[in-house]
Amino acid sequence: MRLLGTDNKSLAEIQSRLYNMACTISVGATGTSMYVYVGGLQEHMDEALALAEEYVRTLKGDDEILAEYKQDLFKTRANAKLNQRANFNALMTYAMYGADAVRRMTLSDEQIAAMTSDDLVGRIRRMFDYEHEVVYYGPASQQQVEAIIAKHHKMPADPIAVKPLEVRYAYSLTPVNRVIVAPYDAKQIYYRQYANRGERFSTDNDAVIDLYNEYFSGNMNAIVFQEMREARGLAYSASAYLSEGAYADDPYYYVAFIATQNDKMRQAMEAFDEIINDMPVSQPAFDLAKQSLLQQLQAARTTGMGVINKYIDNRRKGLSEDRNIALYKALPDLTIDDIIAYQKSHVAGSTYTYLILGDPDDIDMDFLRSIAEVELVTTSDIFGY
Amino acid sequence: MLALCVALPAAVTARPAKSKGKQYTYRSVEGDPMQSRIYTLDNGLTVYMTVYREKPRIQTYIAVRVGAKNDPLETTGMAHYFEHLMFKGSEQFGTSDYAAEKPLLDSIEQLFEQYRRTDDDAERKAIYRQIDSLSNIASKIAIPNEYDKLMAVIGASGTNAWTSQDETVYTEDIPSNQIENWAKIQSDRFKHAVVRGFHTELETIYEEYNMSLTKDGNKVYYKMLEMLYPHHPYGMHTVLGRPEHLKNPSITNVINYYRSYYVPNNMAICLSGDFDPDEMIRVIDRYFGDMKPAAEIPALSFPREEPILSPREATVYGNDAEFLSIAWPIDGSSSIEDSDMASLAASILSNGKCGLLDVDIMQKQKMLDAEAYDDTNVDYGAMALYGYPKEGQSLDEVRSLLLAEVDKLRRGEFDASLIEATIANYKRAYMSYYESNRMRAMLFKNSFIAGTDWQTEVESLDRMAKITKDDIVAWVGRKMPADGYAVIYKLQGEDTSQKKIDKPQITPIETNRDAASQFLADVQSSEVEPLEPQFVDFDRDMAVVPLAEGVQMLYKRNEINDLFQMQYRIDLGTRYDPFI
Repeated sequence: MRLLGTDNKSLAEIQSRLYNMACTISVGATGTSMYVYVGGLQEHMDEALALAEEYVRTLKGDDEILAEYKQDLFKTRANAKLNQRANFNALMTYAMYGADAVRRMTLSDEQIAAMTSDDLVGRIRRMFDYEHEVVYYGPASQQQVEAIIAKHHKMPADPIAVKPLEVRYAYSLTPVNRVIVAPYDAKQIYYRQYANRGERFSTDNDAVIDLYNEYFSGNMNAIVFQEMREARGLAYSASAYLSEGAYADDPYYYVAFIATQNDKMRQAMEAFDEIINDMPVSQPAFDLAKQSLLQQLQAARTTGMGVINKYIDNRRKGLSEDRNIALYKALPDLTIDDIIAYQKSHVAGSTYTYLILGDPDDIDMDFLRSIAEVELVTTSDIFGY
Repeated sequence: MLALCVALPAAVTARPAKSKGKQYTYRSVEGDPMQSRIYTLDNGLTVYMTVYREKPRIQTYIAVRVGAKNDPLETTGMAHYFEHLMFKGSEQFGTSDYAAEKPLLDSIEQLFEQYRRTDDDAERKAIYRQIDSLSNIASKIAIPNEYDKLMAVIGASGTNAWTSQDETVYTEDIPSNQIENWAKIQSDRFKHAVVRGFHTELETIYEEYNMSLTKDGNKVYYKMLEMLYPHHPYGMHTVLGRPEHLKNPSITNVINYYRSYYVPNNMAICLSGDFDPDEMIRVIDRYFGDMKPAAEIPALSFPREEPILSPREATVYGNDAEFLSIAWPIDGSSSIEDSDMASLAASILSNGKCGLLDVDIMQKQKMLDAEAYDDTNVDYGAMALYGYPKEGQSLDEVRSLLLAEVDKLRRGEFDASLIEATIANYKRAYMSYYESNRMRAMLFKNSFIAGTDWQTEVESLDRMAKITKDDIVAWVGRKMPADGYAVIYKLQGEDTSQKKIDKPQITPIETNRDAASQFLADVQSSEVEPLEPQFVDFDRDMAVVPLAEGVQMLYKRNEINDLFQMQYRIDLGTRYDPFI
């Protein structure tokens, strides 16, 4: 909402004041949260917070600005469809969450056209009616901060409970191989293979997974980089690793990525298939990975906002302790056999959703069809508009 | 205290370090928040240091004052692919037997010379097959990725490098107990680099080149350089180089290039982190002190560009949405006046909040997006603007709107208080730079490459604070005259000028994963004082404070500086409600 002022102040006035204070206020949202950010020099925090509170509570809508904004939003969305990276991100979201989720997470053109000022402004004005959290990192003492907040921030009389877990979308499972091709006119494909066996997250796995990832793909000396780039010259960037989700009940998933020229697609896919399923075994490489991981843990320090971010990440997973504590204890005892065993039981033989962003007329579609029936999706399918 | 010296330049003193044996003098600048020390070894190597003990780590940049602008015009792209080759090892690592390997590498070098001089397609294919098979044999002796293994062994992170127009920079973030190993590895790498794995690395370069064909922003940028400085290498070729040169590379030229530019009096080591400077300089001297300086570094000479008298126009095609780019040429970062003025002028035009473009265009929704910025390379810079059109808006309209704002700037139709506010915002930015080893060391690197004195960097905000509105208006009048610009129309459509590089079939080389050189074995078994890990104790390191029903605070004290950041967070995001 960089377009609106409040009941008492124009937008230009607010921005000018902020610039003079060398402070920033921004209102935004991620997939999992909405926020008001205020930052700058501590000496101005009092005024900045007062301004932020006024902004959120008395944001003033304007129908003319809204109409213009809608047109610009349509244009921005159309522009995104032209961009390779944006297309690939859309394709990954589509495969990971499914067509249905994409439709529900995205506003249709009709919804945008029908938007009223209150739809948008109202959501901001009512933000603080919900349960919420204040995050502060700065030089003031706790008491000082509590005092400033009490002075400027009106607490909700009857806070609305937030139950985000009810409305999250689950990562899709991959019980059978699928091939999805989305069109984009380029001489290079962007490729990903995604596997999800529904395996539950547990910190018991931290050490073996971190070490597997370090050994397999952690570095420019790891297997993936060596095989895909160094040995075969297939790509400038390639990766393959096991990942965890954001929340405790998100299962692990496996992803491999490469950007390579169109006629190298088959070679790249076969190379991935080989090294992921039939993992090259090397004791020296393992020793290196282990040594590297231990050193990194020894020299790591979590400071500043990093502490709070770690706390929030932990909370999403229902954890209370710094995970590195157990990790550092468990790592020294792991052997290459542990990695091999984990790879055999949790990685090898997975079925994947294979995603290719490329020109269907210029890539080996016959090879893709030998893996599974090719689902040709449109740009609109993956963007949801 | 420092204000007492307002009439004098900030003192630059030379101090001897307190150490036994050899004395090392360094320069420092009074009032420097980073309390930097700048050493110059006998062989001309410059070493910049700033201590910052937040974490037991050190950010290192080894910067070479050479870049794409120094490429031989017959083999462009060299600075960049040599940077890639610097990861292939030395005479001691990356190989299991250099004596056996060298004659093979020499033969491959000869074959590439033959290849470039041959025009006949069939003959070229035959020579390339020879190169491919010889390379395969040579690869059996080589040990790929040993440099990366060495860095992993010592717990380094962020192993990387980059090449731009003016510089080639090698980056490592190392644990503070690995200084000796780091110095040993880096010095060997820079002193005795070996060109191996060349033809497979070329494949990767082709891949990088092919990827660049869909980067519209890059294409527009290079077109801008071409239009502003047609007689300077900036405007004559890209960092990646021309495809025909990449397909006809010369290892001989690469080696000459390495010997000419990768010399200590053309290099700097930039360091920020947890270390003792007196110890550090001793270690660096021990390992890098015997590098031989060059009597002369090849100088770049180029004719001065004529001023632009009427707008130069060009069109670039690409897949992405259309936009317009306008730029005026100015002097480079070696000119302090232009650097300062351009920075302020760009902020007055566009600062995200109340610049001319922000107020007149963005807040009034006259364009989808509009921004101004200053672009600085060493020899030349630019004052630039770009704009994205709304639906139904033409690029000509975008051009008019942007030029109208520059007219306002030229006429002085802006508030003088913007200057002071801009300096305050720069001060805030610097405060957060100083929190980061990466940024601190980067400031050193920038100063070295630009060839400016560190004192000018330390004084920059005080200096800029003295600039008046009249100064800026006068400068804009001189440097951004009404018709003295280049403009690029980036249109949406297929770029028929682009041709991807077809990659020839190559035989995969051996990875020799289990092999290790003696050098690696020595580093792996070297004894260093281990660091003790430190973990987060959430009770000790932060506080969770209930404020009211349904509202709590997560609090952490900033012990470093006066910056604060705050967030009000609600756990509902766009996945819950797309209207958000």
